[in-house]
Amino acid sequence: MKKKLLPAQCIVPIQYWESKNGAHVYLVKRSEIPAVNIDIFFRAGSALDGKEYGLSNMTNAMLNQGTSSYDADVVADKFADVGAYFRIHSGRDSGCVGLKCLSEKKYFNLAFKLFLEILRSVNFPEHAFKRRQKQMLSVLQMHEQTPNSIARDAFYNALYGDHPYAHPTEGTKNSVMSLTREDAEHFYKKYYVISNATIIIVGDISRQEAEKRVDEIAEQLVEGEPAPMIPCAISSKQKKISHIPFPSEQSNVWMGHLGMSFHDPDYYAMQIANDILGGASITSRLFTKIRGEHGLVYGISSSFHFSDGRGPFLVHFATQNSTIKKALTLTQSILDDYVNKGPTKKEFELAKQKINNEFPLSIATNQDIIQYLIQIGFYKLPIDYIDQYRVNIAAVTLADVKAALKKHIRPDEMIKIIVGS
Amino acid sequence: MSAKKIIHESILSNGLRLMVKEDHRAPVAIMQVWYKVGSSYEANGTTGVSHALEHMMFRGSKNYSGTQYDEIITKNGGQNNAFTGHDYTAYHQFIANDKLEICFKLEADRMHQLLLTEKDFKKEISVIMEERHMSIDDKPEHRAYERFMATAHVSSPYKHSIIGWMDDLKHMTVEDLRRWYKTWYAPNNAMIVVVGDVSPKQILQWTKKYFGSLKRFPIPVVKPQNEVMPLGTRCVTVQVPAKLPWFSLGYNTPVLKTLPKEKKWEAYALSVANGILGINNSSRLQKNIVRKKQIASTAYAHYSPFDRLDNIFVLGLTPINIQQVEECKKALLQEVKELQTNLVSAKELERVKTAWFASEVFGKDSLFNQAYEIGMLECVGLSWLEADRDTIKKIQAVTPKQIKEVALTYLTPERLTIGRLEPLEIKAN
Repeated sequence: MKKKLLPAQCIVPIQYWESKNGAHVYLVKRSEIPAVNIDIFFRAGSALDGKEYGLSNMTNAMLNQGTSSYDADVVADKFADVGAYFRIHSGRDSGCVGLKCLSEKKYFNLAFKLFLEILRSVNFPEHAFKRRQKQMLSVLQMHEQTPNSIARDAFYNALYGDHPYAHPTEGTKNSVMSLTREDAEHFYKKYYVISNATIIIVGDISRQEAEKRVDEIAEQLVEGEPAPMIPCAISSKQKKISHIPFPSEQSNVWMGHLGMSFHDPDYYAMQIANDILGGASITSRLFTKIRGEHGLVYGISSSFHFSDGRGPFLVHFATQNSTIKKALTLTQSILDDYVNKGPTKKEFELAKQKINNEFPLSIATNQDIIQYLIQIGFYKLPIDYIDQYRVNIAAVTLADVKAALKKHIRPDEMIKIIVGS
Repeated sequence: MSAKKIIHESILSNGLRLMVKEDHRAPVAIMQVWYKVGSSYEANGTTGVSHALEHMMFRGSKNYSGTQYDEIITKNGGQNNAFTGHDYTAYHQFIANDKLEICFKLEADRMHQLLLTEKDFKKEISVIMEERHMSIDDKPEHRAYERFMATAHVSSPYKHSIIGWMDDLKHMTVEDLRRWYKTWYAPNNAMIVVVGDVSPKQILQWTKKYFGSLKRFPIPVVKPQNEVMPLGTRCVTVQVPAKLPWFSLGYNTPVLKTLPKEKKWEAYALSVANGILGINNSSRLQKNIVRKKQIASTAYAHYSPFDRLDNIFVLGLTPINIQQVEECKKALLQEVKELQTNLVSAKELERVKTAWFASEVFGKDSLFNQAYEIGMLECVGLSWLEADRDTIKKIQAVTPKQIKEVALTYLTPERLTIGRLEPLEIKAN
């Protein structure tokens, strides 16, 4: 299947190439704003923590804490000198290191030089590692005092069991405290390698310049090997309701089951199906019923989370403790009814129109383009995903949606976590 | 930098103002309708009424029910929402440029034909109470911040949070909202901002077509409500179930709007002083308190020169544990003292100015931000020129001596409020 698109037909012209030693590079040139983003995504998320929960997160958090030449203060000063943001974040699938910078040479060159220095010689100083550990405990305590975070962690734990998505990306108090700087250094050397990298560049930069910069990035990193694929989670099919007592005004609910893959043939049908049920739409069933008609919640949504090892399908809301039973019963009946009968023709047509018409909004900013490139680059969607999106949505029939719904949303198999009093 | 984009400004005969800024990167546009009314216009007893009315604006008008309204926006692929601030209430529609006209029709309609039924209000006020629970009551650090602000402000209407006190929400009536709507939702108290791939001429034409017939009516004269002179340090302790302490210092400070002409520079100097302490990872609070002393896990500093009334210069920390709270207080006061004693180095000053400049450039990526800057400034009684031209220049002009001077004038014990959260054990009831 070799579809060559001419740039003129592209809604967003994406340039793709492979760097020396095998990094996948995606570039979209947008030069209206004199700024450029370079983000490197490594398969280095918490699914690769093994038993050392929080290791991937700590490794990522150490990337701005010093190199063989500079300590954390100097690194911060040097980026600040040129108004650049050094961006680090990690999740279950990936660890990311990025640079957001003004594109004018006098700013960009200095920022990029330091960016390379970090990739080459980040050195995990012992004292900085200890400091980060303490900060991480603070983050964990913040989660412990926030009912929504407690519910989220319990949901992932119950849903994933032995799968590496089960533990919180930040780890636990004990696991974080038992990590060492050597663990982080080892993790970095193993996974922050060029053959395990997806590089995303968006902004005011030419192809030629971008290629040169990518080569320089490739020179700093060892070739290494791509990380192993995360195993696909297997549904336990075990219905489970768990109530965690907490002295809060509201009860927080996370409910759901394993979701679907980006590459599932029903992907587009379920985009429409979920939009009608509880996607971002103000006309969704969950939102209009539970908020609009009954005034029980501020927000309620349903969503599919796509990731390497099968992310969840989930419904999430919070309501005051006294109305939790009513809200749960209503939600369950909306889900049952929807899966049973599917959307009405009117709902289906409206959702298709909406998705088609709102498409331009999703590619309006550079930040939007980066989000798309993460899906295309890191999660390996087709390179013409953006261009073909509306075509693929248009091809879905009501019968497709009804069939897909029954397969991908299973109200009887849901895990429910309720945190509140 | 790229050439400055020009804003097309017009005013209809009914007093409605229009600002249009072209941005042709994508075939989309954002429309924001701003009303000059917000939580700082409210009297005690009906706090939260501006925000409650904002919610009810989605519950239908005489011509379109709430459901019809939602369906029209949805069908056209629009994304709409609203926000309430201390000084404004704003409604926004993000939509493909060829679908924009319908938004003008709908916004004009709900500017003067809102339904406001008792039945809808009952449901919506319950949604709002859930919002309050979620955003404040169930977040210990937000509860602490709310009480901290209520202490730092004495006579100022910035005292209460935007969503309002729970007791006021419980006793709010639909009549309160009707009164609010009739008092403030006039074309002469509103402004439309459009940013995107549009023709300013076309936008002006739609504005006239849909809003032109709306009648102006007199808007109450807003009292100055100047904050009383602070007379000494205030302390507030919040004891709630939590795991982490929280600590903040706040100083009563003037803002650009409230300063006399010859002292306007002070607002910019205060902004830079705040930036020296906390604009990014290289700032002093991160360096000295988070990284060197290691007594706090996070630090932040906040001061906005762009409010309608005097506001608070805030420095805050998450102490690493309850034993470190006193050390955190000492460390923050030490940082204030340092600003008052020694001149900021040229290099450090340059970093803050560069950060300001860079964030201006990065901010241009978002249509929402561009429209927000214009609307917000106009609503607090400043000019959009402030955002597009003057701020950067004025920030660039701030000197080390000026920073020391404002620190000595305003970061004083008389103006200080100290806030802390002392965690109680989390016991399930």
